[in-house]
Amino acid sequence: MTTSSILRVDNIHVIYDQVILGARGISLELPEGRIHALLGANGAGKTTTLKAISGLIRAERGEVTCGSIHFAGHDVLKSDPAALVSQGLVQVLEGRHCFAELDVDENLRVGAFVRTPSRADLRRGLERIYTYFPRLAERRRSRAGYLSGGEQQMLAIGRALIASPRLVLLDEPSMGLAPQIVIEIFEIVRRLNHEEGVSFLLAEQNAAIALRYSDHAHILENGRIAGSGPSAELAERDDVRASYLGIGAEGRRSFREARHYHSRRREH
Amino acid sequence: MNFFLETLIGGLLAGTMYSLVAIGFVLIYKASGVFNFAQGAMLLFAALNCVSLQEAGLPFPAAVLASVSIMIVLALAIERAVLRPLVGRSQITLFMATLGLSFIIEGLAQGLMGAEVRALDLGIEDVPITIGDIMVSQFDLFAAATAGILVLVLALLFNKTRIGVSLRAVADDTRAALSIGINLNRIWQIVWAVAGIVGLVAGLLWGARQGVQFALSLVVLKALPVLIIGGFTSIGGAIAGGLIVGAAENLAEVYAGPLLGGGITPWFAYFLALAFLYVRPAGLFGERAIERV
Repeated sequence: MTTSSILRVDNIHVIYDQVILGARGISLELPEGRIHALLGANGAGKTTTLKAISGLIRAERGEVTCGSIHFAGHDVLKSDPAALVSQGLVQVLEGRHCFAELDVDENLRVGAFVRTPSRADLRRGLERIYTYFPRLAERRRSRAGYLSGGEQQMLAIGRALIASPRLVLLDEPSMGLAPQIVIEIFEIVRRLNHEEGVSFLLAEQNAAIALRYSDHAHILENGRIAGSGPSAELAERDDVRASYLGIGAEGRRSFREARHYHSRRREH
Repeated sequence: MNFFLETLIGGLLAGTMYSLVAIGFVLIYKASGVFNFAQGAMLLFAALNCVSLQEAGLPFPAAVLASVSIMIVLALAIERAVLRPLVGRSQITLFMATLGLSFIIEGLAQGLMGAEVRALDLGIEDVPITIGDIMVSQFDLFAAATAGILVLVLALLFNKTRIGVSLRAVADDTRAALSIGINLNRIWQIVWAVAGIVGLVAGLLWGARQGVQFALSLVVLKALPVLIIGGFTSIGGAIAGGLIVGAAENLAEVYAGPLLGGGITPWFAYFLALAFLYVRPAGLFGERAIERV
């Protein structure tokens, strides 16, 4: 690979509570400045993989039992999550997790503290986020708990970006949002990637949108990588279309056919 | 009328003493979601330290400063030895850990510094002064002023500093705080140290009133109704709860006591807390989580 990779995950196994297997032998590599996607159903291991990379898994009694993870030359398994954030690796959690009792401004400010910015830096950082997310600027004094789902997702992304990360792990950004808002959020991700060179690794159940906005994708099944490839190629593959996009080889099915297809699958 | 006002004001002032104890709980509960059963032991330990150092010949301000440093060291030790290994465990696990901790601290305090009752003199005479026609205890006024200053300092800490905003973020969503690089261990160290210092202040005031002794650690039990009434997550609530409990106790003792054969102070606060549980289970200022429908 010609471009240097910012993230290299090598054959990791993850165990929760010393018994439950979350990932078994996942390897992937992310070149700097790219957007890669992890696709898969519930429980396939997408979130586990992201949390292993950010180190947050240890706070949930999970453990990477073998394999290695390297982010920009740092050994992730030997660093604590706070140190990783200050080195430029930040995760946006599934379900947004804004600080509901803090207002929008405070949510963003607290995201910047890890870099111990000066007051002027902090102000510049805030303005930068508000130019990307003008909706947030309108509501900067509202408590985050009262924002709409889309605004909360924007706030969660903005709170991660204000720390000027090189790599953002984005977990289910489309969850529970209207299609229009999902597109708006993915457009911003693309802009951040183009304009600021931020790399993204995103986990998505919405395979259609993830394939449209990513360069490369990995398909996870039962804690393993079942397939990988450039997103444009995956989007054309019949098996991917059938399993993840709900489209048969002969083109878009009618709802009735799709239902028939699903019930047949369940019988197997 | 004057008698009523005197009873009320006396109760309110005494209530600030309850508030002081309750604030220590609220701080730790907010930041780490654990009801710190050891708060009473910390209070006893802090007051004993201060008295012992004073007896050893240190002037009072120096003894207080030394006690503050000891409470900071204790907070660091608790974070390292108890909280860090138990991170992510259930609330009941953490509660049991603080229960154990309270026995260790109590044992340590009495083993090192003796179990006899010690007198503590803060240099404030407990003689009443008259404001208008109303007699007020000078000591209670001093305690209330101290509580007021402490609350002001805490409010500034929480709202105006970066550490304060981080503390609130951790209290709100620990996992999210971790994900944006807030150092949880440091936050816990700070919170436990602040709670220890609040415990020191409360311990000194209570100790000056009833002697520094083992029973001091039982003020925990007095803080419980205050927390139920005011809410576990709000410093303002702890203050309001303390005032309500103090005033209600005093008024009930004076006006309802004779009808019930007297001596109702020990249980009246719990009765009141029970009544509050029926109508406002989250307490007066407890955070009911913001939920979008």
